[in-house]
Amino acid sequence: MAASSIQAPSRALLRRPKATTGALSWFTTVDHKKLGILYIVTAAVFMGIGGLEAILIRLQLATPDGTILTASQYNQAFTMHGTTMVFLVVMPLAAGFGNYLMPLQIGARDVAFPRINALGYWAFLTGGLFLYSSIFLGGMASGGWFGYAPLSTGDNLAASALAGTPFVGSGQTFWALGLIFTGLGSLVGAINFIVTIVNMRAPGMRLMRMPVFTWMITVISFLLLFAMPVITVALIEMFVDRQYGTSFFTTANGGDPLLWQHLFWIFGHPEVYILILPGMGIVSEILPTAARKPLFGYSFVVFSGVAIGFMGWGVWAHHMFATGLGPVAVTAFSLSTMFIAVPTGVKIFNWIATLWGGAIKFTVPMMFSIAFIGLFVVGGLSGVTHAFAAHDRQQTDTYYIVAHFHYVLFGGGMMAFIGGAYFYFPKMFGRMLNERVGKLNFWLMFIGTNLTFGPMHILGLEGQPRRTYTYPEGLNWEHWNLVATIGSLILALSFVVFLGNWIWSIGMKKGEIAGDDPWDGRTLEWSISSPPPEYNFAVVPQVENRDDFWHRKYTEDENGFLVRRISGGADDGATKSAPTTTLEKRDLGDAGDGPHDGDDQGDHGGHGDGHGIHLPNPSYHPLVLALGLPFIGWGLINHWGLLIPGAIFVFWGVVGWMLEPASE
Amino acid sequence: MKGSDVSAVSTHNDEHASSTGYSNNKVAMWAFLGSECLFFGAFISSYLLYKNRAGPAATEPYPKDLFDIPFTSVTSFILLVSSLSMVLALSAIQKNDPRRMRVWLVCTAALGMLFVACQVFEFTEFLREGMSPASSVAATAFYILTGIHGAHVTIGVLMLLGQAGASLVDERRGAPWTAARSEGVEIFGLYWHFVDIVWIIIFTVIYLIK
Amino acid sequence: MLVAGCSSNDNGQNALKPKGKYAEKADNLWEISFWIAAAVGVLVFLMLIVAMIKFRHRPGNENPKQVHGNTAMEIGWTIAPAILLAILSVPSVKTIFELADDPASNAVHVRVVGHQYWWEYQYLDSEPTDDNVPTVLFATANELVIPTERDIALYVTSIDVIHSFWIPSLAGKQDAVPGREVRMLMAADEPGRYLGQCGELCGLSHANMRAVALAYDEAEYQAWVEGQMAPPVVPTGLATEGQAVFTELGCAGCHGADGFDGERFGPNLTHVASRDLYAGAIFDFAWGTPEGAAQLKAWIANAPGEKPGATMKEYSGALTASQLDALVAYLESLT
Repeated sequence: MAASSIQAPSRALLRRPKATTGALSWFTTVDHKKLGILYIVTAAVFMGIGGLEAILIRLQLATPDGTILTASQYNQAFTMHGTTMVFLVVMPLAAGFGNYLMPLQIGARDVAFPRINALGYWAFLTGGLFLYSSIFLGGMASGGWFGYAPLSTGDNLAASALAGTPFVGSGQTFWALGLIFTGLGSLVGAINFIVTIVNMRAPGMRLMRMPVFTWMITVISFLLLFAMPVITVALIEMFVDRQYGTSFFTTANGGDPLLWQHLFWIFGHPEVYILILPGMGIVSEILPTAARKPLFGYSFVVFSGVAIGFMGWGVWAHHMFATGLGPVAVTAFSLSTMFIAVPTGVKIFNWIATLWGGAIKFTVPMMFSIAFIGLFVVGGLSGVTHAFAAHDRQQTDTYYIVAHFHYVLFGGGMMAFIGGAYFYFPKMFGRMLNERVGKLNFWLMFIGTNLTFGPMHILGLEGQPRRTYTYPEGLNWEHWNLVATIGSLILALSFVVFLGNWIWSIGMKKGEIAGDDPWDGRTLEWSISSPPPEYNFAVVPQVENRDDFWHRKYTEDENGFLVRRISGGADDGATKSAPTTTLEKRDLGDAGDGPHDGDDQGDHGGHGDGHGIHLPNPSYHPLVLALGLPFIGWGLINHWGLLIPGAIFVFWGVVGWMLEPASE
Repeated sequence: MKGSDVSAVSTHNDEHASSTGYSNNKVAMWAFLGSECLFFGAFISSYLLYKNRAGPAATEPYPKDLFDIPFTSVTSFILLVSSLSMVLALSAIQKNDPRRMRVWLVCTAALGMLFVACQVFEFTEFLREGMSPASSVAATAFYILTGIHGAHVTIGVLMLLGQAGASLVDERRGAPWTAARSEGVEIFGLYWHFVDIVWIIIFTVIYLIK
Repeated sequence: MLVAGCSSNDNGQNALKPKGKYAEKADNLWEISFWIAAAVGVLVFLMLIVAMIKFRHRPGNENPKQVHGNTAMEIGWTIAPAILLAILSVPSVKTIFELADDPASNAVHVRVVGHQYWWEYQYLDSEPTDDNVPTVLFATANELVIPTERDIALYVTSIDVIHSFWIPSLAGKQDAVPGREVRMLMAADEPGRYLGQCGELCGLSHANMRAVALAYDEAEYQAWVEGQMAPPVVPTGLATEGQAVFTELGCAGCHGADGFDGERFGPNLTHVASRDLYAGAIFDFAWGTPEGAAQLKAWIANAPGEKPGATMKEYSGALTASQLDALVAYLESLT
């Protein structure tokens, strides 16, 4: 292997990158763990931007007749807030945690298609940057994250503002193309996840032994696989409507605005589950670990997740109860929406049953997980009240809906991801986050969430519509709006504390060295060092049980009580019976064939670890290919000349990719 | 292009073969084609919804008024025959005959190009008869759907030619393809047959059913 | 949520304070769903809190009994919520069909047309059906005048983007989708002023697209209808000059001022002086007051400056102060 790379002349324009460490390696990496961290960090940056937009919205609404933003700025702020949080924060967080953890949890050394995996990340990043480039190029989209036509296919600017300037009034076109690009990334990422899970599980890792998080990643990958093409078609139709004056969604030449809504929500409702299921998966990992009890009703939790995935395709029109679907269709979607609560309830009951009879350690991840259950229950129950279609016509498009989905997606999804970040941080970076600061972070976030989104229930039912940049005095909405704004500032503070905790732990290197298994974990990722070596597993594990690592450490006595095995007990090379305490002294087990640190040895010719583990080489080409996307976008919107660099990047990326073997 | 990961995956994972017995590339292609079903499904649905719709003052013809069924039947037949030659290409490489494989691959690609040429001719005819893409939403939906399908055929042609070329280059280097390389051909074949089937659906649902 | 259930905010735009039978039907459903949801929520929270307190980590319980699941319990908590939801779906479905019922025969038929950013009301002589194209008797804007204790059948549509017509205390929302006309029913029990606003994002001034429903008793309503049906007032004095400016500037291109003669871009002004609110019901004419006149002049001179995205052109360069005075006098004469 090493020899071949020296002999074979490079056919590609770029010399094959070798380094797997250092700043440059982040641009060429195909390591799923590095890509996972890239996804998470990028999502965190977009979270900062989306959060800033949220704060602007809240400041504008803190008082009646607010003047912080103009109507146009406000509409851009909430459009980009929703778009950013859904497409550039929560979906990438799912991709990031999935990338980092899923291969570790199934005992794989890598994903099925490392370079396609990298392409998924770079398409997300360049698509997101393209979307935000509109802020400098004539203003951002302002038609809401749901982009209802024909508002979104019109100009939405006064004729005088449109005159002459390049790009002005194209915000919604940026939106359509940007989401096509990031969608491309999601699609290839989903295919990669599906193939990895279907094909690359360690021996003995049967489907019903997979950790629940991996299961939920499986479900969302299939949802993405089938939902992304639908939104892509809708976005293509929107793009041609906007750019070439066709009328898919306008009545001028016979189109129907409701087609957009149907296509958008056929994608959009599965999308909701794409956003929440990974959080449910993370919580399903944290709860059993902290309660020192296996997940109650594993197969029911898994199957309810799968059931949610299926039923999610049959409820889309509940977003359209007020459009005049007719009573029969409304009844059908109202019933399907009610009954999707059943599998969701099953999960909640199983989580509580997992805690019941346990020995719950209130670690920071656990606090977030329990808060997840509580807040998700609130959001879920308000969701059930939407299913009463006749009353939904009072609720829809009011702050009651805003309250509902923020309880689900922020109180639920985001709490789970933050909890997951505390839980997996030591695995990713080898150091613990500060528990006391973490508790402060938790309480700020918990209080902030309830102060921000709780009052919105009341405001919505008292008649305050969403997406309004101002409201007059005298409707008695002032107090609760002010409370919500204060809450949002507390939330912002909680994120500052969170960021500070990261900096404290790894930036200032003050975090306690974690060891391999700081939480007494249950699944395979805790059996390897922190951070894991590039090849993940020195010896591919032979899986005997669900929660395999736990079973190597513990067994049950005749009454079902937990008993620690005396010694390692396991025969696998990379297993230890007790957590190690120092990063430096790695005991890689008694089999003795474990390499010490992949990174130390990552740089001698070819790319292996000296132990016969052959890993794919880094590559520039996913990045090169993705760099073409924004140019294609600008070219399509403004001047065909910009298509040329776009085409060059794509052609270069594709040809270079084809000519370079995945590993040499 | 994605096919080049084949060798890598099979080498770096020899110690544990795929859990299903199918190669990663093949599973990926099946997953991708599953996704494509919804992609074309959404375009076909858009067309079916709009096939009789135009603006209030429309004078332009609808697509269904212009269809030339005998002509499109011939082009559909061309695409069907290309599926047959794709099967022959796979069969050739499975019998360790890379030269015949290249012949059939190029033949498949040529038939695909002929199909695309016929489609371009059809479009120009329709334009000449006054059905511009933005004249009615029915026309837009028609052009987008058949155009996107044509783009899929074009990408397929490029992949087939690329594969024939790669085989030739390897042979010049003294490493002719054997049956061991047949899976790549099979996977491109899956794509080609899929695009073919989609056309059969488009032809039936859009051209034949009035 | 619990606080919401006991809302006492009588702001005139509160879905929890229904003031007519159709809003009450929806509210009854809310009462059921809210209390059931609250009960389930409290139950789940209790279980969660008990579990957190009772089974917290303590010295000695480090190695709890390993319970993997219980099929009977799983079936129980699958079936129980399903049964509960099945029971709840009965009133829900019943209400869906009740709200889709035909209105009583004495119903008032009004076509509601959404515009960026105001509502047009076309009062119809009969119900629009496939076979019947009704005649528009007269058209007004912003203020929907309705009689009490009668069904109001609204046929909701839009001329530009999607809007949503919503007077919370009288009925739930109905989206106004261009190219479609969908019926919604509302009713008011008592005379009064009920507030609402556009429920679907429709552009820059979505927040400024408000609506008011004025419920009159039957006699008062009939008198109002007669006033609206009356031919336009012939202007005198300064108002005559205003009418000339109105014609000269081409205002009539968007604003009908001589009865209803087809759907226009702007509000019909035939009897504008009988209305109180304008510009999407955000400004008060305050007829006869200097403040009212000043605001109206500012609006005519530069509507987009007064309300973001307003589609009426800026006329400040084209109008002198005396022309503005004349226009206001003309509008004020259109009682």
